[in-house]
Amino acid sequence: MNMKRKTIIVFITGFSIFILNIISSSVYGAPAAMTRDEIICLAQSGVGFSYWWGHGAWCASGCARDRSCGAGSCSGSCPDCTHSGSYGADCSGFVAKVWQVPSPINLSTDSHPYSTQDFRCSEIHWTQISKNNIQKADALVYRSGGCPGSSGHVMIYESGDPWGSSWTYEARGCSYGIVHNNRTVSSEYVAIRRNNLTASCTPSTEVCDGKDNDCDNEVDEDYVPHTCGTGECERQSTCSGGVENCVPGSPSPEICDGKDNDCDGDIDEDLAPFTCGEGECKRQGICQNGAPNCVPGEPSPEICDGLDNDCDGQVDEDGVCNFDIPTEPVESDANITFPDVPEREDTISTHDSSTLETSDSHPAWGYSMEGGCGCSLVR
Amino acid sequence: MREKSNFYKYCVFIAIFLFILLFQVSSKWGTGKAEQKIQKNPEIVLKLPWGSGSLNAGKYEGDEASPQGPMSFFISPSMEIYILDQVNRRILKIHLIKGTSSVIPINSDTYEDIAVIPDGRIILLDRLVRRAIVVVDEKGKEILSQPVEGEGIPEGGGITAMFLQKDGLYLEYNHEYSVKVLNSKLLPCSRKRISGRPSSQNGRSLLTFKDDSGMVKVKLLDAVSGNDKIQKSFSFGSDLYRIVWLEDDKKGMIHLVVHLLKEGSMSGLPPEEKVLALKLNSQLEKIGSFESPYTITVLEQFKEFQIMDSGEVYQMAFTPEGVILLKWRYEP
Repeated sequence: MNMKRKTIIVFITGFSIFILNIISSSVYGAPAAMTRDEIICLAQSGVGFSYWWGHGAWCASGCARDRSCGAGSCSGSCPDCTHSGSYGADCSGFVAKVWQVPSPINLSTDSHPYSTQDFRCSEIHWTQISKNNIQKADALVYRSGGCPGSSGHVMIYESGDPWGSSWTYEARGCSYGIVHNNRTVSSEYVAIRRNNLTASCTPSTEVCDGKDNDCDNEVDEDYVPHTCGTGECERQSTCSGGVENCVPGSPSPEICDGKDNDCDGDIDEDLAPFTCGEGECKRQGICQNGAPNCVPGEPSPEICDGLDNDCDGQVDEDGVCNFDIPTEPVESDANITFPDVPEREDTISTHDSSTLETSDSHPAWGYSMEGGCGCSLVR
Repeated sequence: MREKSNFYKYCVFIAIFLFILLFQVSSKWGTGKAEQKIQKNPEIVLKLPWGSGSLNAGKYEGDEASPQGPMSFFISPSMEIYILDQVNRRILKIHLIKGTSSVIPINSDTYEDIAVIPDGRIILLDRLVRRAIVVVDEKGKEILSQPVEGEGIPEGGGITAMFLQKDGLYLEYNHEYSVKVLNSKLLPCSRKRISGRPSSQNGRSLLTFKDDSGMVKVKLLDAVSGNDKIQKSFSFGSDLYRIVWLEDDKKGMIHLVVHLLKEGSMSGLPPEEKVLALKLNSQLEKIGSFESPYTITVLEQFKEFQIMDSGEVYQMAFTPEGVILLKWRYEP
């Protein structure tokens, strides 16, 4: 065969493949657009349903299994296995339904449009990709003996793990049903990607930015306000039109109330000093646990000492400093009583009219003298 | 003149032969390598042809389902080999030294891991259907069933390994941490959690993972606090496919096993792959290695390696003919 003929044959072959591709894409069309999250949501909803060879149907409640639909059960060795119930899927029925190929279909409507041979050996609504580029909602498929092969398996890939194993959703087998699990995947599996995937929404915490951060088709709805300002000036932010606004309150003079009135971060600080009580009972107050606290001292009998001992606002009143010591015993009606004390010499001298001293103090000096000399001694 | 010409032809022939021989020996990768290695190292200690007979192992081809062979195996210190032949709903017990074998029936084909305690009781893990640890006696009669899901294990499908330790039974979750689920008397206990997987050395645990740069990081951790004691990174280039196993032996040596895969340089060529095992000392310095041509097949396996107390390494692998159990020795 000469070179010219070879060139012509190569050209015709290449052109034929090109035309066939165009025809196949126009025949199959593209599946409806889906996000990766929508695919994973459908996969999650199938977990717990039975394995049903050659079928694909289950019920969903959001992204979870609808438990009002019976899971079904499988026994025996497929394909010669026995299934009971109305719901379940085999591996290819599960992937076709999760991918919603060839076209959108209710999950609970039984369908099984493709086998693992289709997923592995054709590119109908999906394309083979490098396993190094696999992402959430892609699939892993193998076919024993290549194409067409004799048997196979396909599963939805969710993520990798720290060892390079894979988290997958799969209709694993008759005894297992549809499961979510971390498993090893041999090199014989190839990765395929559904066509017409739209930008996937990766859920994150909703913030005030006019966007649907948590992927629930609502904007700024679960926005968590933050605070600004300190103490009594603290205020919560608001979100309006995707713009966050927060204005702190105005500070006021600090008072003893357990609050940071002047908004400087300190509570009940810089307070003016205050006192309570009169004379010798006067005490300094403190601000304790947000309340003023001041207890006056105990009053004592007034004595001649220049102080207000009895805390009545007067000093040495009631003649406590009038010392009129008689030189002769004076008879009087006064009852002078002496406690049973040992005899001793006491000297009382006066220096001035307000001072009374004793040369010694006696522990038993607890007596009082009333009337007569007009003075009293109290210890 | 003719003799001279023949001589030259002979020389050319010899040169080509030597070149081919040299190429074969120097080639690190290649399909012919497996046979060469197998003859020297390892020792094949057990072969079980596929099937359902008394000394067969069952496989499920997976017609629109996940194919699988025996999910796990366990070798006791007295060299009794237990093959979890769950496809045939049984455990094969083979005593290599005595040359005896027996069959222990089990009630399900969804068990994925097995361990045996010294008194002969067998611990089975069903992480996906019953989602339980099941303890059976030597005749397969169920003694205990303990749910695996709970504190530390949100879903059974995330369990990645089961370890029988002196102080109880641990389940590893997502190759990240382990949870003690049964105590040494095989009774439910408070679910103590440790980073990584348990170690034979008191007070430490082992952790490995692929880091962001594609290297394999190995860490020896304080089992209680989870703090790093020592760590080291190992580079396998772009060939690293997955981490296969991490375990230490009674001497404290750490055994790290990785699966390397090189995509075919030309389309249509199958990838070249192998398993590489490294033996590391307590400072995580490499002191030995071996290469195994046996990597996982489409027949799923839950456990591929076991490290004995003595440091011997066993691998359960699948071939087109059946199951083989290999005993590897390290080369410096």
